[in-house]
Amino acid sequence: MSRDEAPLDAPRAGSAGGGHVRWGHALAEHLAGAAILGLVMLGSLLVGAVRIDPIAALRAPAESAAHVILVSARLPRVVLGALVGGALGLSGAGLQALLQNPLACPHVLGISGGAALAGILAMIAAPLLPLLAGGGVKLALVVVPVAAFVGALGTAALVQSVAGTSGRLTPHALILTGVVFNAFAAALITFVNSLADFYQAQGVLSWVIGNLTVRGNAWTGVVVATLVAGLLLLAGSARDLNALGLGEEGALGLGVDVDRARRRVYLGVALLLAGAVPASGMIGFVGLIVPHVVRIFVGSDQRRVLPASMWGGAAFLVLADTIARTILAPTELPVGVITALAGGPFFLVLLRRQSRLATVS
Amino acid sequence: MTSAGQARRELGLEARNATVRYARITALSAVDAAVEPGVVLGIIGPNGSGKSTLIRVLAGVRSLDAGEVRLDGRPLQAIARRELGREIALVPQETRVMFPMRARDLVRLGRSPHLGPFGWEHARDLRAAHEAMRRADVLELADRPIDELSGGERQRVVLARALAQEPSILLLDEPTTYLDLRHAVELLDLIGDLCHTHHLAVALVLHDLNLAAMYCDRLLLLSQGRVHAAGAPREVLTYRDLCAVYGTELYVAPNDVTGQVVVLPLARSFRERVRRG
Repeated sequence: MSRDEAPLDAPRAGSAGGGHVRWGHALAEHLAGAAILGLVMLGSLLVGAVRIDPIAALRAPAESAAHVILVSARLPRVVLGALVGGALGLSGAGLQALLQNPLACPHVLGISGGAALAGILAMIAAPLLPLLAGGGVKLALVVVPVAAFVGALGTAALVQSVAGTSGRLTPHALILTGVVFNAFAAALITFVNSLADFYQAQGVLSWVIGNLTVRGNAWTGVVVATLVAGLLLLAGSARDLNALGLGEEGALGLGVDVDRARRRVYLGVALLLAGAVPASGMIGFVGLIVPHVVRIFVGSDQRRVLPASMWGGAAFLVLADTIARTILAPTELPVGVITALAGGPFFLVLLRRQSRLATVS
Repeated sequence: MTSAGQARRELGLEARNATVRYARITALSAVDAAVEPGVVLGIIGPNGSGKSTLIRVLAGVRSLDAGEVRLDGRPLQAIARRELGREIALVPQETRVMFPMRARDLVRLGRSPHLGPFGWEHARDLRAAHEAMRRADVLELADRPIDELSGGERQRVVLARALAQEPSILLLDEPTTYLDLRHAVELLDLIGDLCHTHHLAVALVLHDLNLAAMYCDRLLLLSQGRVHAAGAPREVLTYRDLCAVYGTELYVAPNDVTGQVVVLPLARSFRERVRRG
């Protein structure tokens, strides 16, 4: 082959830098993400309705107001915000890659709504069932996330059946299905809410507009567990999600068992929401915005986008909650208000860009 | 089938009695085809004759309603998807990507079936991708975004992606459709070299019968989902068969330069003149 003798001094493989990812790179990027998140969390701890000198507060006796605010009020909330944000960012990145749809996120697709609806039903039904009645909080810790998981998975199956018939080239049909399902879920939640007694109704409302009021360390623990499981499932699908960038047949040709990859991603997303939604309700748009911002910095390789979206989502939600806590201090806004205010316009911009792309290709 | 025939076909890809039905129509009907190492098999036929379906069936991305496809004697369904990805590479008619990507990244996707689930690459993978780009002559395109490449450049990059899979079987669906004459012959020269020097088994769908005559060792002429004729180009590209399958009057004759068959479609005025004799 005469073309092989072209005067191109073949560079040593890999020395040209760029897109390859080895486990060392992955570790370094996780550390970088953790460092950024750490800084944001530290900043958030220092800001609030009450001004606190952190070092003095930590040295102060445990029952002092400053110590209590810092360690018992702010710290758990910042930690919960990071965990939930991580789960939402990660699930958004996974869904966008799987569906090849830049408008996808668990909220827009109605998967969060499905999780919330099932979770609320479980929360209200659990004390009514004689078999379950005695369990109290401990039982709810199992029943509610399991129900949310089932609800998320069921909605995901619905989304997939629409995506399967309409194909990846009509992203708007998919989004419409999500919108309709969200309205349906919201109506049902309101209906359930009017049936529930006053004490429970307060609980129901806190699911609808997401907020980061800590419901207890045990609930936060559930989020940790589901986040770890979801990260393993989604990051473990990175190779297949990259191949899916060439479409379903392209991925098949690259040796991807597409159905299995799909099940794994939906399972991961449902797990993430099973932890995040019972702990914080429906916080919208984090999973939509974060992967887009992340791709600006790390490119579109899913091996990078997925972990970075987790760290980015965590930092973003901590930041949003800091604003929610302080902007009208001492009144606190639900963080879902802040993310929706940021996410609405962002969605419209994406939609415009998406329509332009659709007409080009 | 004779035992000699079976022994010869033990290596490579073989479809037997392959049948595919869509809702109303039968796209492939009892098709036999063999893709063998060191042989370029051309799949030709008019629109809707089942060429693309056959190449997708051979690649294992479309399942069969009857019949079977065997890789080195083993039924495709019995082979794990990932292993198929290491043995068979498919170059589709068109490659679209959702998110922007550089040529190098597209080629590295070819390593997918060799990577673990987290997709971490080893030095071996980078070497294989580099070697594939060298063979497809796209090293100088490595850092270019693929949506900025010309049709010919992009098709060579996609070929490099297929070679990075290190397959033993290379399948191509109309690889020259969007290419001008020079880029078409250059791509086919390259594929022919890969087949004959590296003993790759190649099957490709071609629309252009003259390119098929020049580059293929064997041809499979499909008509309405059935094999109309199979064999060496000289045996398949006959005036009688081509006119019957394509349903129009053609000029078919050996050319002076290569001695191979030239097929020329004729405008109506010439068709009428031929018919009158």
